[in-house]
Amino acid sequence: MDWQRLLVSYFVGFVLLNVLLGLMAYMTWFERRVLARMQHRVGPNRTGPFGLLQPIADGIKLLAKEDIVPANADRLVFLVAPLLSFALAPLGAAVIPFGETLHLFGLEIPLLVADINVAVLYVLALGSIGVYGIILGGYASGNRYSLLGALRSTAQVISYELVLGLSLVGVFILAGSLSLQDILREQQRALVIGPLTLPNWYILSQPLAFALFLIAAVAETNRAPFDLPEAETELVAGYFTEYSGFRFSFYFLAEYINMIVVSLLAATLFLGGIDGPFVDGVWWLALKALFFLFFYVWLRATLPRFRYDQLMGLAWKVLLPLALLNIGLTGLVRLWGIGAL
Amino acid sequence: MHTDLRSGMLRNLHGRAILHDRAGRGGRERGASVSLVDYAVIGLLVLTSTVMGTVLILLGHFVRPRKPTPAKLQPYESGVPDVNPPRGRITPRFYLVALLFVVFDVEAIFLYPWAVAFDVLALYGYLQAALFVGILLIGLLYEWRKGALEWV
Repeated sequence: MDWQRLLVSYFVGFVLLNVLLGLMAYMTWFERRVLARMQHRVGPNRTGPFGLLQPIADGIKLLAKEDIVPANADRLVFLVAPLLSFALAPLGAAVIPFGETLHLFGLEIPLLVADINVAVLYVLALGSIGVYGIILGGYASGNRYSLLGALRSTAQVISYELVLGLSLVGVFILAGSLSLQDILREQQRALVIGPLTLPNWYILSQPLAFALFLIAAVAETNRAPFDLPEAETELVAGYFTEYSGFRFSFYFLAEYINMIVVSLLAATLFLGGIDGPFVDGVWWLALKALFFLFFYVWLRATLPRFRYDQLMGLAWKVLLPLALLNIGLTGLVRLWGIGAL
Repeated sequence: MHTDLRSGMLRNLHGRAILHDRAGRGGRERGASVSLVDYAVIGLLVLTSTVMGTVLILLGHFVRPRKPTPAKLQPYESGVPDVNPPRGRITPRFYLVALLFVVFDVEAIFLYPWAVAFDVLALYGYLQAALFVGILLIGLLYEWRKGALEWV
């Protein structure tokens, strides 16, 4: 085994893990500020300049809160489940390329933690395992609301995961690979339509897949308007009703980290990721991801919550057939493109 | 498509080697290095994030209060004493969704390798995939008509 590469990659991964945690904290600040502006409020602005110390204050407060384990909870599972959600959430970012290889101190430092050839499959698999944190936590709480929230969440996440997975098949047909490196490389080529020369970003050739991916990603991360698992008007707080203190914040952390990872993934798959002129790729990736994060907040400020039957109906009766249609059409166009038709 | 046993190389219907075909189209390396290092790094990161989470919880142990009272440990029920068992009956619709999910998730997984090898499999592969998806689609329409997708 190549020990030096292992160490360097692990170091990059460790830094990335910490950066993600920091970003997540400021994502809460960003969401509250933007949401407040959209609702004609000011938002948190007392703790530090522009309220920038608010996430730190929140963190310390949560750390100092009592960690309550309900009397009829399944103790071990109750204690471990939030940790499971939290520990798996940031790992998806490990396969996302952040830029070209850096050369520092005579070392080659890849700005990609793990270059595996089934990168997208790996991210989807992590999403599936993340459901365990929710359903185990909801089941172990020994509370009706928690159990209902967990079951809803599971049914929702697995339904939309299907749409998420199928919407990407069109991208795989065009790129001929599941590796994010290959998908990026393919998008850096030029797309010439008549007099126009555009970047070959998949948002242009796969607009339907992009829309499906975006909708499914919002549902997959349990965010508004698909935040049924924690619908406070019916289920108190859904699967984390019984959680308090830092264990509660683990679910919170996991949700926000998932949002960041999904945004990075969407930027990489459909908007060319690190592709862009003038400045380093990492800034372009950050800008594109920030757009998706803003979009999340925008949605939350704009749309009311779905009804549960509407939610499931949308996944199975609308999005799933559309995803299959997209695969069929993409396949036909590709066949014509490679001259096999 | 079949594997040529002597050279161990994948070939399509016309006997063209797939690797050659790939190189001819994009002129770039694909899956050049499948290295265990990348998976080892992911394994180490799983350990790291688990340890980080555990440390955070343990750190809080020194600062947070711990005063359990019987009332506090009751499951939350809006102040009303809880009478029904918390893990009671649940609707079988969740079970139905799980069944549907398994069927279609397996379909998605089968479509992934097909999509990656799309250019090589060409029209023949497309028709096969269409047949496969078509059969499942008929199943979906049947479920739709039987009302399995209605959540009322």
